[in-house]
Amino acid sequence: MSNIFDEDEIDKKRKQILIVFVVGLSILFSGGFFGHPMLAVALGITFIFFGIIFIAGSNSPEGGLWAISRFFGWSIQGLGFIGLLLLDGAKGSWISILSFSIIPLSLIILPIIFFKLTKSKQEKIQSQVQKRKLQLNDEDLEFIDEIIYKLHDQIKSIENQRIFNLPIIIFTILLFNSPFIFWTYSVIQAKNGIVSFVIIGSIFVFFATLGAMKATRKYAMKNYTQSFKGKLVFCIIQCLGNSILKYIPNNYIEESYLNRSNLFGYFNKYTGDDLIIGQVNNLIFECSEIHVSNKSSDDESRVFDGLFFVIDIPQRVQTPLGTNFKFGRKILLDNPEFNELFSVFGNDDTEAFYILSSKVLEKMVEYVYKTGQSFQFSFIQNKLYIAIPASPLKQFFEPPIFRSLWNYKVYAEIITDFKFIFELLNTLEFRKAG
Amino acid sequence: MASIIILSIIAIIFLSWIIGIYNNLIAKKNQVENTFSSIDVYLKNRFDLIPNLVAVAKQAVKSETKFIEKAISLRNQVSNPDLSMDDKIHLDNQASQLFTRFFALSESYPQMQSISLFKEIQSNLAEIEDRISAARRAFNSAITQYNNAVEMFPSNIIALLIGFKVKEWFEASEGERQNVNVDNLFEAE
Repeated sequence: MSNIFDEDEIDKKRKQILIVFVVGLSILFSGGFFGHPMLAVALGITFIFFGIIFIAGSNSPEGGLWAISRFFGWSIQGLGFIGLLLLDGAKGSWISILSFSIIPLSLIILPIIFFKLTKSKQEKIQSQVQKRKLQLNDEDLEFIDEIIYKLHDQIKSIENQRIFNLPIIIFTILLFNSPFIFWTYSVIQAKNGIVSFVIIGSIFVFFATLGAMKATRKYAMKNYTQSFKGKLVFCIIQCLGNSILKYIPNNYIEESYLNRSNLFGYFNKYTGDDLIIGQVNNLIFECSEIHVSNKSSDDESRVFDGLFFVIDIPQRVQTPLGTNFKFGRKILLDNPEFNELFSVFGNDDTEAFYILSSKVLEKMVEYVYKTGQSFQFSFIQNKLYIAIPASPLKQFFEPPIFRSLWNYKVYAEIITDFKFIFELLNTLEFRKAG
Repeated sequence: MASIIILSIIAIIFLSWIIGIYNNLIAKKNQVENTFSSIDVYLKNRFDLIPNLVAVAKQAVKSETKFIEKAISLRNQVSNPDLSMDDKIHLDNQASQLFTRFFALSESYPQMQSISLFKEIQSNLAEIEDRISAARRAFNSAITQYNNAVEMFPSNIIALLIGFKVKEWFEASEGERQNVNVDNLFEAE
């Protein structure tokens, strides 16, 4: 198997900066901890500085609120350090009290974020079915095991990378949560405020841990993430389809395909990554993870998050056919289970029955039953478009941090989704160009 | 006066409902006819292959006189423009058997397979048979919806009044359903 991930692409500068940052913070942290106030102040300022950097460099799909929350998190921690580590006088105590009183203030921001996330989650559930619950049978598990066995060497090397990265993650999580640890200490010293400490503290720990994991995944574990996506996921997909593949991590499917597919409502913001181009059963396909949303001045609503496939079919479909009601009248196919799960619209019954053969219908039904996950599709001209939604807040190709790579669950969704698509492509029978 | 208005409103609603059922029945009947016309198109495509089949058979398997005679007879029958749908279905069954026999012969006479027309028949027939199969599924699906409307209450009352009856499904021919014993093919006739 070819190594499609070019090592030169890895941003070495970024890696060096990260090491300096981590080492520097460690020194400052230990210095501050052992009672060098100036180091504690420097540590606090560093935190605030990085908070600003994160705001400036934020390109997170969730929008600016996460960035603001991160800024708050870092700033609070910075202030916390300045205050708590200057415990030698009344001045220090007052600063520490002031800094930690900001934590509840930041909780005003957090509910807003939570509200935003819940809202988009509800919207997604309405438009894209429920959370995925994979129901794998013995045959599926055996199949996954076979793939894990085949990719033993690749998994082993990337698993080593994960284990190597774990101390950095744990350190970062501790770092994010350190004000809380100090705060706990001060609360216990003061012997009051235990209830508010438990309530606010647990929320703080949750978000601080989440922030730490996001930050480490994005910066400290970039190399590991890229290896996982570029080598392992790529090999899995290659194993499944016996296909020729090309993987471009920072690219995604052209926006024009989204418009042509007629599968999405109005949208004005579109991003994505992990473009895969390949060929199965002589059909060329493109696939990437995409995030489609509709952004207005004060709100951003999700349109679609998930995997999007564009497949070249050798036959020109005369009239559009698919799950969009705009394609024509509803066509009832000769599979009652399929008719319950999907609504297919088009204007040519015979063509619909020709393309959606009994085997194709069975495959689609089987996939929905197995994954608890529906999907949208359309056949337009000589293209087949398939959109498989991801569950909220989940990204398809993200590697696990705390779970071993030898666990089948890591690959279950990727394998199930791609196996379905490849089997579908093998089931589609287009005899010649029409 | 008020009661007249109420009765008129009820009558209008009832009439609209009846019209709705009637239109639905008509739409389903048209759908059946529409899908049947697709089958007709593909049946014609399959019949169009028979002259080619005759040409190949005459060239490669002159000794199989019975087969050639049968093929010529079928070619003449399908060229009649006044065939009813039942006739076409009957002839299509015969055509299915003819093609099965034709490909069985090609295994006994490998020289047939080298004729370019043979390959053309083979690839066209595969495509047409897929299309016929899809059209048949579409037709049967339309028939199911139509028959449900004709048999279910209350649309069955309207169907009875306008003389709509349950329609037959388009079954796969005996020749396609069974594993044909190619040696005995045509022997019964």
